[in-house]
Formats: sequence, C-alpha cells, structure tokens
Amino acid sequence: MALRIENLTTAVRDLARMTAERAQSGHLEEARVLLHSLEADALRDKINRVQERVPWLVALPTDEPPGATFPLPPVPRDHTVVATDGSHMAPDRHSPVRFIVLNLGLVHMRYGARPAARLHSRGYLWYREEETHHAAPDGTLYPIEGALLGVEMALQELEALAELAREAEPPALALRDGSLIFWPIQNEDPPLQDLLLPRVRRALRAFHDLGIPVASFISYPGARDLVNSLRIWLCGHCQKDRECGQCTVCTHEAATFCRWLRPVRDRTLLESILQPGERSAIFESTSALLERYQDPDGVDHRILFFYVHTGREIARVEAPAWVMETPAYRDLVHAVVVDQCYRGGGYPPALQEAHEQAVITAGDRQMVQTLVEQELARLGIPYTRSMKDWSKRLRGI
Amino acid sequence: MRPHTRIGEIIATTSLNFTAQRLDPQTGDESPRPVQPPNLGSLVWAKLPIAGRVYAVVSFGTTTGLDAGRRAVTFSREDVTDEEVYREQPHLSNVLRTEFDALLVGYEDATGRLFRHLPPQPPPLHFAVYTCTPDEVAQFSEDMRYLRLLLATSARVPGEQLLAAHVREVYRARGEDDAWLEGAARYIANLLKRDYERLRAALEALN
Repeated sequence: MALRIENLTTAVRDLARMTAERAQSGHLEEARVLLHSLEADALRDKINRVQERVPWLVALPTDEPPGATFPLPPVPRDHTVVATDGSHMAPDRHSPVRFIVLNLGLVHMRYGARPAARLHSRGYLWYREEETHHAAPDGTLYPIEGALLGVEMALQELEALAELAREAEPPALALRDGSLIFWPIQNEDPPLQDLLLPRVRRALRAFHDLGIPVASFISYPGARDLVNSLRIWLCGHCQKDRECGQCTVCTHEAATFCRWLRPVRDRTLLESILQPGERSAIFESTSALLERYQDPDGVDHRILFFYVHTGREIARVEAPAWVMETPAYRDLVHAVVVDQCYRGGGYPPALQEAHEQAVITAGDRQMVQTLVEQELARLGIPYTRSMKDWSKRLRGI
Repeated sequence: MRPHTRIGEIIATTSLNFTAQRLDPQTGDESPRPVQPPNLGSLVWAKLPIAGRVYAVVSFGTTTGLDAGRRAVTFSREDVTDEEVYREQPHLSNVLRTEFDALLVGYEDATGRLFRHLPPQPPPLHFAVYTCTPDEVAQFSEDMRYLRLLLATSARVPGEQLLAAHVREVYRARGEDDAWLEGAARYIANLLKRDYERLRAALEALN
C-alpha cells in the first residue's frame, strides 16, 4: 500500500477552514485600498531605502501609479504571433551513455485578412562534451543538467523565437511561456554567468533590432512582488533605524496585517481591481541579475512586468524595458496577449500549439532509449543500467 | 478531360478497404477553412505497385484531432461561427485530421482491363488516392455487378444508404443518365428482393 488517504482527512479539513478564515478577514480589501492610495515616487523611495535589508523580491513602481489600471488597447486586425516552447529528456544518471534530447516547438500565426499558421518542431540529441557541458574560459566544465538544463532550454527557446521573429510580418509579437528572468543564472559561478548572460542579451537584442516586441506570459502566476512592496510600505523598521529580517518578532502596529499579507499572491490582490482586458501598472523587478540585462551600448533589456485580466484569470506579462517603455510596443503586447487568451478560451493558442509541438511523449522517450540501446548493441556494447533503476523497473515481489 | 485530383494518402489498408487521410487542399493565400472528406459514395482510385490501379467507393468520413489525446473544444462565439472560426483560429487545419474509408470494388490490371470484384492485393500504405474523372466513373459503372460489394461489406454506414449514395454520385457523373439510373434501380431491386425494408430504404435514398 502506498499513501493512506484516511490519515490526511483531518488535515485537509483544517486546510480548507484556514483558507476560508483568511478570505473572510477583510485584510484583502484593506490591501486594495492601500495599493490605490500609494504614489509611485514615495513607494519607490521607501523600497530603495529598505530593499537591501529584506530578502524578498519586490515590484518597483515605474512612472505609473501603482494602483492604476489601464484599459485594453485595440488589437490590430492584421497581426502576427510567433511563439516557441521546449521539452527535453535530461541526461539519465542510471544510463551508461550521457545524452540530452531537446525538442523545440515553433509556431507562426498570422491573423486578420490573410490568416495562416505554421507549426513545426525541431529536435536535437546532444552527446558531445561541448554539447552537454558549458566550458568556462579557464577550462572548467559545467554539466548541463538540473537548473542549468532549464536555463539552456529557455535560451534555446528564446534564440529560436528570435529566428522566427525574423520572418514575422509586423505588427508582430514574439511570445514565450514562463519568465524572461532566467533566475537560476544568478546562482551560477561568475565565469558561467559571463557565458550565459551575453546570450540572453544577444537574443533580446535581436528582437529589438527587428522592431518586434518580445514578451513572456505566465498563467496563474505565483509571484508576490507587488504584495511584498506593500509589506515594505507598511514596514516601520527603517524609520527606527533597525536591521530588518526580524519580522517574526515585529511589534509594529501594522505587523498583523503584514503577516497576513505574507502568503498572498499578486494575482489575488489584483483579482477584484482589474476588469477583463485591463492591465495593472508596469513594475520593475528588483533582481540583481537584471542589472546585467543591459546592453553595453545602451539598449535596456531589464525585465519589467504587468498583470493583466485575460478574461479568465490574472496573468503576468514580462517584457524588456525597451518594449514596456515604447507605448506602441507596450500596447501591442497588452492587446495581443488579451486577444490570444480570448481566442484560446483563456490561454494563448500560440503558446498552446508551441507546447503541443514541443512535447516529448512517454512513447517518444521510450523510443529514443530503445534506439540508443539498439545502436550500442549493434556495435557490441551491452547496455547496462544501474541496479537501482533495474529494481524500480522490475518491482519484483 | 479533368486532371486527377490527389485527395488523400492511404494510412491503413486491407483486402476489403482502406483508410486515407485527406490532404489539405489549401494552396497559397486561400483562407483557412474546414477540410472535408470526399462525398459519401464517390468513386476514387489508387495506384498499384508497378502497374494498374484499384477502384474504391468512399464509405465513411470523419474529422478528429490530429493527436488522439486531444479533444476538440468549442471556439465559436456570438459573432464568430462556422467558417469564421477557421479564420480566427488559423492553426486548426494543422491540428485536425480528416480521414475517409473506401471499400474496394474493382481494379485495372497492367493491360488496362477492368475488373469489378475485389483486387488480388490491397493498395500499398502511403500511396495516393485520386478522384475519378466523370469518364472513368462512366466507364467503371458500365457494368453494375460491383454494386453487390457495397452491400456485402461491413461499412460503418448502412449498406443500402451507401449503395444509394454511390448511385446518386454516378448518376450525376454520367450527366444525369436516366437509362443508367433505371438499370441501377432494377439491379438493386434484384439484389434486395428478399429484404423489402432495406430495398425500400435504398430506393427512397436514391432521390
């Protein structure tokens, strides 16, 4: 027997009750009122004063009032959407040969007077050392696996998207699923960062030079950046010149409200503020990594974001500063993202089809494994897997 | 004579019938639109290896998701219906697949001689399926004995409906040849003389 459900029922009941209590507290309304009352400059100043002392990601206001909402701009009747997505088979630790399979889904959709669609996929099998590792200038090899494989996938998707954008007839939007902030890079060694960040900048620069805005779409976002900004606004410590990070013992008058806010997500805060089609103000993400998104020659690729009511949910849209700060691009991103969600019944068809193209099914995975095993056997190399893997597959009794 | 139109590719084949996937007939700047199977009962042909061809009657058509695991969802709205849905969702033609079944009813051997019974071999997988020109339909339907095959096989539509659909298709292709139609009706009456209900259904469906 595996999981015994009956032992969990009490906890499930408590979980539901706690969630209901939180929802009834009235703090959410308080948070909305607070957001509406904030001025961009004052909030930015406070964040800049306090931010270094808190370990959270916060949303830094731009010129737009933090609580403002913006109506849906008209979508151009004729427009193009290009999108990419990726799927992979990670190197298998239990296998005697090391390889990575990557499959990119590429989608080009034209809407309007001459509607058309091109969907295809492109698969790779990497096995050479230079394909399965990043090599730093000092010769250190970093195996592409785990978080680094995620980054490599995202980069491949972005680079392929830039290629697709080359053939896109404007007005066009290049769309990616997920974030444009490649978080895991910041945990890597500096030499590796120096390899990866220029690739991010080069890819983003390609869109800039083509005049095609690039953005990413996050459905049901888990981010708390904006809520964290509210918490910083409430925080009294900076005024008392004390070190922060003492939230658990905080006695400030706003502490109860602040603690209540801690698990709230931005999408919850904005649910009753944004009407269908509307977007929030644009905010800047405060990751140190983004400082290195700026091109040496001045193109600003730092990632800004807004939330948008797609008609079905609050989604997060990220784009480089040069997109968000150019009204024509910004409005195109806003309008096309909402139009895509409208067409797709809640989720952009371009992203859905890119995903469908990218997917590597369980059958495909098995097929690749078998192919590799057969080829090795043909050359007289027995394919021996780890005993642990063998035991899991056999499940002998 | 009209050129042959390639309408599908065989994706399953047996001694009795084959299934073909309809090829997207769209070219160039045409607007995306639904891809439909050929008419029920229409005569089609496919090449045999080396020489000759098989003739078959379209007996079933279906459109489903390209990926068996993906169900179709609704896309229409108050102001977007029918063909407009395909214009609004141009990717649909890439993710839908239209298939049709056809019952083998005859073949032509290397010498060009026509036979109106099951061919010695099924047409090969992945071979193309073509529509027949009116001349070919006229020539093939000269001898009606193959009509019996449409009743005898296990098509997914009722045999008498298929039979009637085919007769209507041939009648049109033959330029509304009343003499032929009369002969066909008489032949069907003879075929179904022991089954009054089916005969009635077949004759009623001829109109």
